[in-house]
Amino acid sequence: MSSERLWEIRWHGRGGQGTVTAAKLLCVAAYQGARGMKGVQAIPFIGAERRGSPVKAFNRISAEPVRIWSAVRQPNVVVLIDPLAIVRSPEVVLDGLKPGGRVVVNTNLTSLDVNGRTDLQVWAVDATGVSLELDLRAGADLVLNSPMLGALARAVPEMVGLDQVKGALTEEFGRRAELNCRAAELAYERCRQL
Amino acid sequence: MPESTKTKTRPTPRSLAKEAYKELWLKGNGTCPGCSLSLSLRWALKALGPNTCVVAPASCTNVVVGLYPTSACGVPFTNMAFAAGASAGSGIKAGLRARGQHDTNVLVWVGDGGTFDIGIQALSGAAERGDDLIYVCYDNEAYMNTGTQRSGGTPFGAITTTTPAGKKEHKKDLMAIVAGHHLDYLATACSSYPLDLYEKLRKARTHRGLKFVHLLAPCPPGWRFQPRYAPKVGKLAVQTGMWILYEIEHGRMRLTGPSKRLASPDAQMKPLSEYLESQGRFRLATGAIYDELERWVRQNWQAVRDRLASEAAHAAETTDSAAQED
Amino acid sequence: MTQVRSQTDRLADDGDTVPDRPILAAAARAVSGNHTAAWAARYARVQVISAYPITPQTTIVEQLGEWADSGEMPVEYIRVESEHSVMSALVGASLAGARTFTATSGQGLLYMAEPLHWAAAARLPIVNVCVGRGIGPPWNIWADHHDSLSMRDSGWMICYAATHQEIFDSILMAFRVCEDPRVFLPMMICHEGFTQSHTIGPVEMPDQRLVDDYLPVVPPEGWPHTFMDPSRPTSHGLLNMPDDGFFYEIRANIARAHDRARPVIAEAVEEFERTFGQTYGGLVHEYRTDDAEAVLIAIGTLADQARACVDVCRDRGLPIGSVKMRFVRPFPVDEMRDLARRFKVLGVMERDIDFGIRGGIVAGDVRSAIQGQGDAKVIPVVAGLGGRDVSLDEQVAVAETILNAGRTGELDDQVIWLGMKE
Repeated sequence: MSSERLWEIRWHGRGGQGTVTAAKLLCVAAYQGARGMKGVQAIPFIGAERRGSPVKAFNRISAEPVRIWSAVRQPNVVVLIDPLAIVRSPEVVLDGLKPGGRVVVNTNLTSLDVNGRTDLQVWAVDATGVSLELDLRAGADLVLNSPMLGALARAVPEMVGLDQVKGALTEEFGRRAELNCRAAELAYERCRQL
Repeated sequence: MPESTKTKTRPTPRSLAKEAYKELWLKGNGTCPGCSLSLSLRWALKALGPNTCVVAPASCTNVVVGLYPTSACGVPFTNMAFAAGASAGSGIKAGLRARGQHDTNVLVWVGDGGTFDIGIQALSGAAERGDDLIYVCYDNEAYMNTGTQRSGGTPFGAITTTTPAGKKEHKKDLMAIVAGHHLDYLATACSSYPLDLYEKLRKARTHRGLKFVHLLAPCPPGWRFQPRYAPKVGKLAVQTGMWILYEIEHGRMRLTGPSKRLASPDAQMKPLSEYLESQGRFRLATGAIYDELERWVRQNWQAVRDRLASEAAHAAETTDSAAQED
Repeated sequence: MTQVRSQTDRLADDGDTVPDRPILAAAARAVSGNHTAAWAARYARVQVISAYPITPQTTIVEQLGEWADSGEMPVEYIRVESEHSVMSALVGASLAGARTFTATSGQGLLYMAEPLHWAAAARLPIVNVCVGRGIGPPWNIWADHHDSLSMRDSGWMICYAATHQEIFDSILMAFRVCEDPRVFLPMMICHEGFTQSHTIGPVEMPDQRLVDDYLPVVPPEGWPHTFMDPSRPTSHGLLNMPDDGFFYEIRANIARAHDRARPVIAEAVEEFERTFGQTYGGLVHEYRTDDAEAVLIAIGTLADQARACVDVCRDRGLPIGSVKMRFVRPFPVDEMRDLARRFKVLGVMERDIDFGIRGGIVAGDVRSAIQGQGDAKVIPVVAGLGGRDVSLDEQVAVAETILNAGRTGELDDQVIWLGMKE
């Protein structure tokens, strides 16, 4: 276990953006198919679940069974669904991120100050733009987790592939699967390392 | 006389004694002399027949059914935790259905303690769910098994070990509580009128959901009277108006037995004092307490008369308008 | 008057159309610990479920309720009005001969304590999942072991599942063990509030037919304890006089059933391995204990994480092993005695405190089991109460402490209160 690659992911979003579902879908995606990882774990953070309040969720993904049950304190991947997070509170959202870690940000900015760190791999995609383009909504809210999962597949291909992401989206969203898969695809294509 | 049709098929005690059903509640059980619950359970099982399972939570029944290794019950019988009569009954019914036995009666046989108080939650739940149970609350108006402590069913003014000066609160209106669950069939009964009980349970079987019977069961040691007077005390309860015999079927009330005669306002009920003086537990029910009990009896009867009048008026309207449409 | 009809009425009416025995295909699913438990109950073809919601168990009974309502799972489902009624209803259903299942947590388990004891004394093969949560006040809905362990005197068999896969597998094995004529005891399968209940994890679910072969068939004529059967009227639970009755002997029979359950559990595990390929090791499961000086015994996720802890320790050259205690009842007496003969120090890590004595409840049982068996020291480790986080590093530190205690002879009569604020 200690010598195997363990991905520890922390998601940041706001209530209504689908953060907890994103973590669950990453599990389902990574577990799927021939490339499936044996160790998948998604941990929702149960706090004050009000619309608009900050929400966190976590994953552990590994080729071998995950036998750690404590909180993810030092992730090696951070995914920011909330486009304002990196701008407003970078020290919070990047807290504990391991050296050389990856950040996947929902943003239309072309350069980002990641709290002064130069060791990180920063990947950016305008997931909000993708969802607006496709009018991908759940009620009034824009669905952001599907494009972010596509972006994650682009940024961390060792962990999960786009086909697996689409498989998970199809399972979860039934009738709306096609639109969600399209969003993941677009985000995957457009996601770039800054 | 019970309201049911006087046809050749109307049972008599003699004919019932000869019925195909053998005795399902056996002699030699552990009851006190003059026990009303024993008499009632015998007739209840005759009404329901051998394809019946009985669940009896903590109460006198658990003791009188017999000490190991003997049992007075000829159908499957399980003792049960105090609060759990109706819930265990619901489970038994579900288990029987799961095994394909849809026709077996499940009789939940519970005292007033297990119904008015600790078991009311389970009863309410089963009633609200419409579980297919026959629930009989045999009401001896106190926790008799543990030595006569007051229950929610103890009447105003009665002496118990926990109300030595006479109970200060009126008995809960259990029928009103249960009626609030929209049951298809609920009825009162009294151990002194076994045929009335028998026919009500036979009728109950034909209905869906939870069927409820509130049965008055005079208790010689608890109520303080001679065992041989048990049937008489029960009759006095009805004849003085203290206990009203009726059934409510699909929302329609119908008085039964001697209560039928007492519906009209100029009917002669026996004086309440005859009933109260027959039992030691009411020896303090004099003066203001007596007055209050009388008021309570009058109030109950007024409510019954109002309801019957209102139902009759509604029925007349419906008939009229239906006639007009013809 | 409005017709009130219960679910049971509906199912009876639809009797012709409810599928009798649906066959679930094999599938690998990433699901929550709670949904894992629901799937296991569905695979086991439970016949009666009674349920009452309580966090963090609720999603188990909700999932089962959805399947019941849709007809995907042919089951009698009673939505009762309290946990006392939950277990009372299952007592009733089991007395009528049905395979039964439910789930609860914390306060709910305590509220069903009376009928819980009843179920064991009545020798009913009921399976109950307890999603451990802290007992209030103050309110706490996260991982804790006190609720389940406070019922260890009830006569129930008690099993702790350390992974999602183990939740699924343990529930299947439970029905097999409980319904074995040598046993006839109920079993509680325990996992942890939020740590397992709401986290998603991987579960391999088999083809239904393999499960059907593995589990006993519920006899159509009923089990020996099926007393609610008019074809053979029996009275159950009668008053027993102290001298003429058999109360004492009936209680002793519960103890004998626990003793007989040990080999039955071992057989069930062996057969499970043969059928499904998953390894569990019986009442306990040792990990890298071969050349260890000290072992860390634990229940639940603490035991699974202990394996990661042992790997870190071994990488640093520390001779530590871990032992997952799967069953607290029947207690693995022989296995603990064996450990006491092989190792100097037994650390026992759990999410509970045995008030008024020393350390945790399981630690106390270990101490009493190994009495007189060599010089092994038991060091109780109280950790993670009410879901307080227990990190890998903290666990490694505890392992080091225990190892040193064995080497230096210190830490006699002390308890490690891991992560407690001063």
